[in-house]
Amino acid sequence: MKPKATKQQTHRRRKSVAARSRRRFFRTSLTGLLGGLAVLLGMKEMAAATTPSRRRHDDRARLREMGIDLGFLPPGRFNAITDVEGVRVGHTTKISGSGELSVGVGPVRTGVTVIMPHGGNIFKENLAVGHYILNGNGEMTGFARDRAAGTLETPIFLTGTANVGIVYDAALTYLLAENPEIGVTAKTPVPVVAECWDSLGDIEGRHITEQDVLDAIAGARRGPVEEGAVGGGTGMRSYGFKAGIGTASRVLAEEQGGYTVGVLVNANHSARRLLRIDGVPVGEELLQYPEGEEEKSKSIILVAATDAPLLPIQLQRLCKRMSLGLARTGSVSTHGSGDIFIAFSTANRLAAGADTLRWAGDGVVSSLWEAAVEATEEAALNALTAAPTMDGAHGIVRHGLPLDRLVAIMKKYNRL
Amino acid sequence: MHKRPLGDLNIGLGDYPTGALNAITDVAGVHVGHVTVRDGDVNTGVTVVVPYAEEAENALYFWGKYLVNSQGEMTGIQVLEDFGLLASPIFMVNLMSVGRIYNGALTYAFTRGKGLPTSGGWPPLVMGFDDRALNDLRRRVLTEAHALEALEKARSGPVEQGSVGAGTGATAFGFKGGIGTASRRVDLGEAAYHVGVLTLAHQGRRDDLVIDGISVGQALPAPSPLDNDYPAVLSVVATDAPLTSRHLNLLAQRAALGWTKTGSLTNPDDSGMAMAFSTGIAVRSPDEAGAYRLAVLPDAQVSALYTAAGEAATESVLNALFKATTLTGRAGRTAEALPLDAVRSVIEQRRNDG
Repeated sequence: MKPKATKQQTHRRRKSVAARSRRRFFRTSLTGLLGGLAVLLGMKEMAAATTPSRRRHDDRARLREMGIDLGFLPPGRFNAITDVEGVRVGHTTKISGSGELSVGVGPVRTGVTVIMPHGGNIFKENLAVGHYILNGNGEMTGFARDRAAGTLETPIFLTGTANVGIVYDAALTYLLAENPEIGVTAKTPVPVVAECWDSLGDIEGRHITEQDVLDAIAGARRGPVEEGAVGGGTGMRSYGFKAGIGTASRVLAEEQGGYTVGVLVNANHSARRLLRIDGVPVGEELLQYPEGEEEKSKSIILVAATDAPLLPIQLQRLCKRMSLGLARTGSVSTHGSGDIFIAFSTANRLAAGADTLRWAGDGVVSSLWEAAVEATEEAALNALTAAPTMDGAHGIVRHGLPLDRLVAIMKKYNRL
Repeated sequence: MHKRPLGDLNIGLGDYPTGALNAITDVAGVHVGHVTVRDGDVNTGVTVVVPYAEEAENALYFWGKYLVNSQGEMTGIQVLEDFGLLASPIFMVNLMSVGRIYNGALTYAFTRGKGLPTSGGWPPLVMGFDDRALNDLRRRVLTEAHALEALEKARSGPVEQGSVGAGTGATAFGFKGGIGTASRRVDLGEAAYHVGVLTLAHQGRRDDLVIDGISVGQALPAPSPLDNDYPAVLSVVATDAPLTSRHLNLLAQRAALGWTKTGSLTNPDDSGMAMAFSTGIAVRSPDEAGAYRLAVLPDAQVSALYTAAGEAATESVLNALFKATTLTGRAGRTAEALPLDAVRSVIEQRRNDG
């Protein structure tokens, strides 16, 4: 396990990565500059090729790749929720059509993301789970049952608001196939499905199918997690920019147990002006980029995984800390936002008849809270930096956070 | 007053008079719809309670809830818990059909407001329970269309009880369970308020059943009880009294206390979920400062409504048992109707002994 970085070490790492990021982003900045020149000169074709709406997904980056490394604790190998042993993530992304919205036709900008909580059969071996409702204008099914039981018994699905019923039903199809005893000798599971309002596409058309959900499950992998406008995050936006799925992780020092905390978000919340990155008021700096965005609050779903052996009540406390990580990015959790958090621990697999739990004492939980705050902050921002500009219904364009501008702003505030 | 089953026995069901129908529909605007699906091993259905009249302009209403060992599903719980302001129909359905009924509820909500405003019926409220005792719920025969059909069939007036709708496959206390309803009228000064409860009774073991303080279940002779390993009792409490969420949470809690008078929640596996709403305050347009002015009942007056909610909840459970008819379901399993003559004998005998 990586040792906990001191402030000085963190600073040094920042500087060296900043140098790399300057090289990396020189090209991007140059491209932006050329685009601006092209617009000035009326060279429409050239401008189109370089304006943000044509930026390729390849040009997106994770926050840390730009040298912006938040907090004090080191991330895990993939800086992702999958750094927690056994956790897998799968996406099905549905993108088709453009232009005027026609219900049932498109444009389609939706999808589903699944988090498989451990490598085994989650229905047969449940995990401890905790929740927190920061602002309740959202849906997370399975909540009533899981909170009473303190256990997670299904994968966790993230999707668009109108897909919840379809995804719930498809989750049962998967669980029934894996566990033929359900409905006979075993209980009926209550799947966990959480939503955000994916307003970039035809929501009412509900373009997710059962097969899409089964595909996401079949495609769930360990290792690096695809972020941005993918899976359940496809139609989302955050801080007035294109957003979606983001993830990050933190690892505690060996003397703190060496535990990993991973967070995955579906980010669709907050307003441009509020965005702060590493304390820098990036949103204020980009208020007019490339035009002002209407301020409408939506939602963010946060999922945390840890291999620290936490009890349900401790996981509930961890969930509360995710609010603080979110606050660091500027969110005030407005009235219309469904800000609902869930956290599970992979340490104890609770099979029927299990009667011995190992759980982390209060001596290490503060470090876990710090890890949860940092990982949440970074995951919510990775959702922004990973998501490219995307058009949607009625030709609306959701701009990706301009990374060249971001680097320049961070330098201006001496954070790079 | 409404004529009750076994009414001549004067079963202790409290002090407040019933509403005209002794049903949740005594609360004006509330309407109830059932869809029953029976086909061999399939014995299930959907029941919906719509809180507002069909013609009512979109508004928000205050809600509360109370959960005891909630083992099924209650969707919409975050809005219920954090806002307590909604306007959604409440569906009851078997636990394997929650997703499809949820999807149907979304279809309905889209017709009431583009963009799914809360005043138009988002989030869907779907309460799910496991009815495998009589229903092959693995066969998910219910679809989105059944949710819409239940809404179409929803009516004010008398409520069909017993083995109907979501109660089709229900068993309670080893007998046939199902849907039951009851109401109370509470006069407060000039105003006459109502509290109505609709309950899906699927809880308890035979020995748990208590009627009027008498352990009737233990005294009843054969037939042998039908086992139910996934017991649940679900209630919807409606009132026209102007209450906010704080009070409605407590009203839902009192419904749970009402259940216990029938021996419900005696069984440690029993799961109970109650939600309560008030039609007495329709939240529509705020003033120019974004604020609302609400006329609410003072706490001192609310306690009468709590008592009434408990009474109606107790009676709703018994009405489900009194109205349900014998049903043979999945794998030839039979849930017998509660034998009312035998219940009468037990109660009369105990009173004579007493």
